[in-house]
Amino acid sequence: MAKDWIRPMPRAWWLTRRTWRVFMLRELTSAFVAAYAAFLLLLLLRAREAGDPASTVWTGFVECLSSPWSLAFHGAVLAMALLHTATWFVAAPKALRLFRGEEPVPERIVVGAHFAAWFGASLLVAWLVLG
Amino acid sequence: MESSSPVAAAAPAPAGAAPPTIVLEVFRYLPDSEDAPRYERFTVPYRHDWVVLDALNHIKDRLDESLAFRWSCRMGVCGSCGMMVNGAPVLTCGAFLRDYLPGPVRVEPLTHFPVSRDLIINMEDFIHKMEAARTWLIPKEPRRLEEGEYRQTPAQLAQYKQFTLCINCMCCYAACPVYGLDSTFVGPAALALGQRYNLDSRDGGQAERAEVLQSDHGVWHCTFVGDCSRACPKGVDPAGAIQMGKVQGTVEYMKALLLPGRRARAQG
Repeated sequence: MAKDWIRPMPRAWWLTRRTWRVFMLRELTSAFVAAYAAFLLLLLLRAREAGDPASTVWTGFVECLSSPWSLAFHGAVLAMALLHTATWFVAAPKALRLFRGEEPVPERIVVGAHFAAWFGASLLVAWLVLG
Repeated sequence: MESSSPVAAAAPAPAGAAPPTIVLEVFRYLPDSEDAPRYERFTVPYRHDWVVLDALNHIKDRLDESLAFRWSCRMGVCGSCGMMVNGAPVLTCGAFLRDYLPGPVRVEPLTHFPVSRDLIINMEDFIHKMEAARTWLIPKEPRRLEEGEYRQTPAQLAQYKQFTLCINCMCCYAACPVYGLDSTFVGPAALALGQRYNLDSRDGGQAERAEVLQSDHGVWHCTFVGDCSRACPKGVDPAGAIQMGKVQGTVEYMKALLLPGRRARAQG
């Protein structure tokens, strides 16, 4: 009997299509979000020492935050977090199919509602922090 | 080897006009006589209203009758003529040559499947997965004929109707890198059709299907690349069906975890 020909995926398969490169970039954004979560935990640990005038841990940490490396890290995380949020909001209607009677609710409404909620939550946080 | 049709010898077209011919680079695999596949170039007439399938039929009729490929309806209904055209999975009966000018047009069998011969893939794995996902109606309540039909409102029909448009062309499997990397993944069409019946108000087979749909090889193996939905020639959204399956599975899991009665029934 004739043998079937198997075509394995190349090692760099994700480079071969634009949509796969975009997918890998979206997945990569999760690593930046996770890294920032780790950073926030570290921030909380250091903040415990903030009230102690004898400790230099907090002041040293704050100084570290203004270094070029830290600014670059925060800039990269901001860009990746924005991309992460936007790509997942755009994908949300896939998991959230709503109907008004027999008619499906248009995807742009679901996506728009996510962005509106995000904007509202950002305003609230800005008001709490800056207000 | 390059084959040419008599039309290829026609006078060159004036500048700006459509070319008289176009070249197809066709994947050839002849397991009875050759050890490995190769690409063969064929020059075929260019016609504004010709699709890639017309060009393949021209090759088979006039240039090389040994070329093997599947097709049937030529109108985007049977799902037989799915192939890779310039690297993208498409129905060749809907892929116009005019969209690939000036050529050459590379035609290959659907990727991620074993190739049996030329442009023909082995679809056994796909058939097994459709069976495993139980892609048919499992009635919620058995009825005798005299009891009449299972009734359904238009709103209930709307819940699953778009998933019924799948024609089993397997373009979504060729678009899915997860299936390409690990063929144990149940895959887009089988999962979408399983979800289609799960959403049907007449169906009661959700628990039966969950064995496959909610397994490690089912919806949870999908990383949501989304190319299956982009590749579907019928506008079906398998990626959406799979994400809905994840939501459904999570809700069922949480119910079983938090509601003791449901957990006991599930274990019983």
